[in-house]
Amino acid sequence: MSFHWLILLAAIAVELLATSALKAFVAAPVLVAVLPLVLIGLSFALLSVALRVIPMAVAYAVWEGLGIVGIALIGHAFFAEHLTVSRILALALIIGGIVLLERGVGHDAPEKDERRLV
Amino acid sequence: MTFAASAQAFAMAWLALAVTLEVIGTSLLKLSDGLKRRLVGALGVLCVVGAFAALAQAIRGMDLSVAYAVWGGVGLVLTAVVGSLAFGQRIRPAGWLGIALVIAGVVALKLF
Repeated sequence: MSFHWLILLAAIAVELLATSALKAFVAAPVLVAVLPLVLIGLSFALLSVALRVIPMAVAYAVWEGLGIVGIALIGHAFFAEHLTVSRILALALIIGGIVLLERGVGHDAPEKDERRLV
Repeated sequence: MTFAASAQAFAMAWLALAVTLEVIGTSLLKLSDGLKRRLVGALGVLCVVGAFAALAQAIRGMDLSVAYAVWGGVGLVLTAVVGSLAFGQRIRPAGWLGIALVIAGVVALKLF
């Protein structure tokens, strides 16, 4: 696992933390409620570093796939959002669709396609 | 409209705003050329943060896991469509199939 993939995974982890905080702090005072927004900024800064090497289409597919699964598990474990079979199937449809979509769309200018999958 | 139904409609409206801001934000980030054009990039980041704030309002009235999946899925579909219309990016058949799957998944989430 290369440095840039670790950075991408860190960006996703911070995003999951930020989204969970968003839910946990939903009734919190404004000063506390701003914390998730700071975290999302940090997450995007990490993402921009990862995107120097990892193609955008690959990064977005991994980001949303892991994000949707992660948030579904966190919702199940901490926020009483129960994972029913039909909900798991619907989330799988969305993730499969995102992977296909990112394979089937040209994100980058041709010269950036030389970036390796390392 | 009952109270619960209107709260849900309210949440959907916030979610729609979150998706819209996200699509504008990611399109601006694309235009910023790897944040080299700083003003465009800063506007993009501002839109993404605004999208997140709107998402915070949406999840007062709906499950986080549903809101997040719809936000991510619909956001990427619309970003692809904007890329195709505004930046001339071609959507290949696999991409259209992916768009259909995302929409089917979002509809299934709302129905079941």
